[in-house]
Amino acid sequence: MSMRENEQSSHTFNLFSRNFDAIPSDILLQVLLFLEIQDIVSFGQVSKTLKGVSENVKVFDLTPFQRNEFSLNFIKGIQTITTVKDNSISQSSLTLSFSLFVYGFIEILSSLHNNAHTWKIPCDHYLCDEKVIRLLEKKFRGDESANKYGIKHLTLIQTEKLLRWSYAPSFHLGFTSAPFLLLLKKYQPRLLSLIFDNQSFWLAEDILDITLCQQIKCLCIPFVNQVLFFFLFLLLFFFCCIVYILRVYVCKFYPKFHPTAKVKSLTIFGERASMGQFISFSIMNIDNNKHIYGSTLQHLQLHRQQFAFDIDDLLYMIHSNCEQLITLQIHFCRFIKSTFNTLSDEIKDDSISLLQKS
Amino acid sequence: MSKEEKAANESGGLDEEEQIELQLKSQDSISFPVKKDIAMHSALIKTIWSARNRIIKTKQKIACLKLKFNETTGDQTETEIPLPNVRSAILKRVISFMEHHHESPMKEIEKPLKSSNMREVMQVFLKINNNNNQRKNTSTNKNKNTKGDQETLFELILAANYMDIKPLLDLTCAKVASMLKGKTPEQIRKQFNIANDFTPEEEEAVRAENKWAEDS
Repeated sequence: MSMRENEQSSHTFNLFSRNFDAIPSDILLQVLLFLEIQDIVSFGQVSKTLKGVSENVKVFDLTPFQRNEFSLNFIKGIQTITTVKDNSISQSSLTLSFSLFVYGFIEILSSLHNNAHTWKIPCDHYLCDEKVIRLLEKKFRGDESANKYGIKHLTLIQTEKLLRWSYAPSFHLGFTSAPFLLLLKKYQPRLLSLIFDNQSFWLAEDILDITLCQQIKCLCIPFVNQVLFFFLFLLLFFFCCIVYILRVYVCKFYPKFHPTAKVKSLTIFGERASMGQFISFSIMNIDNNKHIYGSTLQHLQLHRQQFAFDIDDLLYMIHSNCEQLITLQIHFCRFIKSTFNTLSDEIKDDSISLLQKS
Repeated sequence: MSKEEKAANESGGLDEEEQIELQLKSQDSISFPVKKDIAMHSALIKTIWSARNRIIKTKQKIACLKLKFNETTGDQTETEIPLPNVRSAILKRVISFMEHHHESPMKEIEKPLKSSNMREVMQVFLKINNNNNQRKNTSTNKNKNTKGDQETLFELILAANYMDIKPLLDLTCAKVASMLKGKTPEQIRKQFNIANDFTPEEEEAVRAENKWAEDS
């Protein structure tokens, strides 16, 4: 090569390595959309730069339509791969493992190769796509006359990164992946193994549906998957909140439900209500004169104040706490006196103003 | 003025709007007159034009209020659309594309490509190139042509993306895809003059990883 030619060659415009950094990743993906899987493989093998560029294509840059389109093409591409014989079982040596979050297809393809005997299916909205489901069904069914075997080993995986909330199917996976789950259920008798990735977002309820079949020889289910754990955590949190609210508000108005009151000293100031049997009381802390609902203070006073409740409820409360009760003061309670005689033997002293327990 | 002329003038409001010629101004300050309805193939121009229209109308209202209407009407710069990211040579091609597909909209290109020939697509592409490029030099220097084509293609992709012309973006992307289709890594390197920066061991490892695809 002459010097001039050399110079010319070195200045030859290089579409990819020189300028591809300037091309937005969605354009690169547009290009990839026109290619089949073998071409994508070749493209990724050209240079480190391209490998890097291709790995930088993020699905977040894509519209949902583009994502579905890419998924579809990917599956179409995979269909062209020939059948390989496994040592033990003749089957399609196909793995579907494209990450929907990082379209680093070289990484994907390497994972395909490393798991040649397993189909890996990450969960995402593409599983709702009718075309995708149809293609997957073909994969499940296979075509034995053409020496193509259906899926025998299946792994349901989580994608590489946590799902972004806007795309996260974690809270409605049962709905979004319903078509796929139906498909899975239909073809599960043909499966020899079904593995749920430990870190997967596949929900337990989905899994339970599928695992009803006993014909699968190998079944791995995550003990507690992340979503389930998260759900449980949320449930627990809400439960605690509700309990707390109930405890504060319900117990406030209905002291008989107070579960932890350890009343040791009780003073009741009361008077007959002008109408009926109702008497107003409030429970006060003797020491600082503050309301003590929900606390475990040992000394209580019941004042006739703003909280009204049935005298029977009050007596029930006293009765249920009488084991801890050391003192009981009742002021102006002629009305109550007769009723108290029916309470526990531990409160026998029928002094109206003071009950002292040894 | 005759009755017919009057009628034509009255009914011609909309046509007049359609017949407006926009001046698309390239990066190197060259203006290309394009009919408005053709230019509207670009979503960018469409957006600019509608935004500008609103401004013009507001200006006119203000001017009417100030009795200075005549000073603001007939301003030629109002039809000028600056496209600072597109060179004139590329803009010329983009305009040709828009004109060509104004009458006959481009068919959607099937994905993935069935063949690397891309004859139909290429015909359109080459037609545009030939019509507009008017290459004086039909040199047989393959490297030079490749360089020119790829550089143009690259700029067309960016221009289509910038001007938001989806059919052109599809076409250019399909063109690049057709250049990649069915080629081995080595052929792609040669085609695009890409240096192989893998070490022999790395290359072997990558090849081994993807051997399954070669078998197909």
